[in-house]
Amino acid sequence: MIYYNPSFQSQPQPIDPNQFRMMVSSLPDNMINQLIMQAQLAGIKQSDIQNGLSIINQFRNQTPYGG
Amino acid sequence: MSESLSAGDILALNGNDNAWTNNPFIYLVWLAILGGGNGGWFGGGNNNATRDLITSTDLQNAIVSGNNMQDIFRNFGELTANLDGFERDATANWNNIRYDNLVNTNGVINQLVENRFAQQTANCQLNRNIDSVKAEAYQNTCAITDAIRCEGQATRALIEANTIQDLRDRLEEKDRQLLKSDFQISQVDQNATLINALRPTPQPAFIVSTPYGYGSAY
Repeated sequence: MIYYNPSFQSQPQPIDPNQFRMMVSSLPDNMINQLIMQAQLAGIKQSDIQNGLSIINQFRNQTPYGG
Repeated sequence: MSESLSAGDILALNGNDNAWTNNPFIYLVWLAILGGGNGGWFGGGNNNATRDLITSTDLQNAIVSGNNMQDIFRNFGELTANLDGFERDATANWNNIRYDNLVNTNGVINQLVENRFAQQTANCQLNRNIDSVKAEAYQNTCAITDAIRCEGQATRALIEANTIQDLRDRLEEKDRQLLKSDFQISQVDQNATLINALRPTPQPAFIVSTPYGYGSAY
């Protein structure tokens, strides 16, 4: 679950796991690449990026109509 | 079948079925999917929407466990501290380098000054040596000259002495001759005296001319 940080003004967007699973397969690869670059610029750990990509790939492979 | 970890494996490792939602990269993707208000991928948004959708605020909000951003801030703090330390070290070392360079330069300058002084001292000594040699040469020349002068004087004195002696010898010879002549004269006078004494002959008192003229038989 996303931990809400009250010090920031904008509201965090909680992730809906099921919706994420269904929608992630529709993401194009260039979009993924852009997100990776943005994550690196933002200072997100490379391990977190790798884990996230693994999860995304798993969800995309498991989607019946995706691939 | 894929050999990589399945989502279920990841979930099992995480110990939570939805623990993967704590991944900040996953949250970033989620924000891209949502579109941040422009309808996202499923609301007709374009591929470049993510640049406008995912704001720094959204990223700041992607605090899954509070550690990622803290790690980022901690890393930033460490980086800043390292940069400060590096700057301090660089400043100190640069000052040390500058001081060392100044010390080395000062040492080089001192060495050059000493070399110049030593060179000047050597030149002065050399000049003194040259002057000493010249003075000695002058002395030798003077001595030689004196010797020649003295030799000449001695030679002249010898010549004079020899000349004088020769003159003396001649004078003495003359004296002897004169003495001899005087003696002979005195002998002749003495003989004449004796002859006149022993066998006197008339001696006219005064000399007159012959009355008979020259060539006369009478």
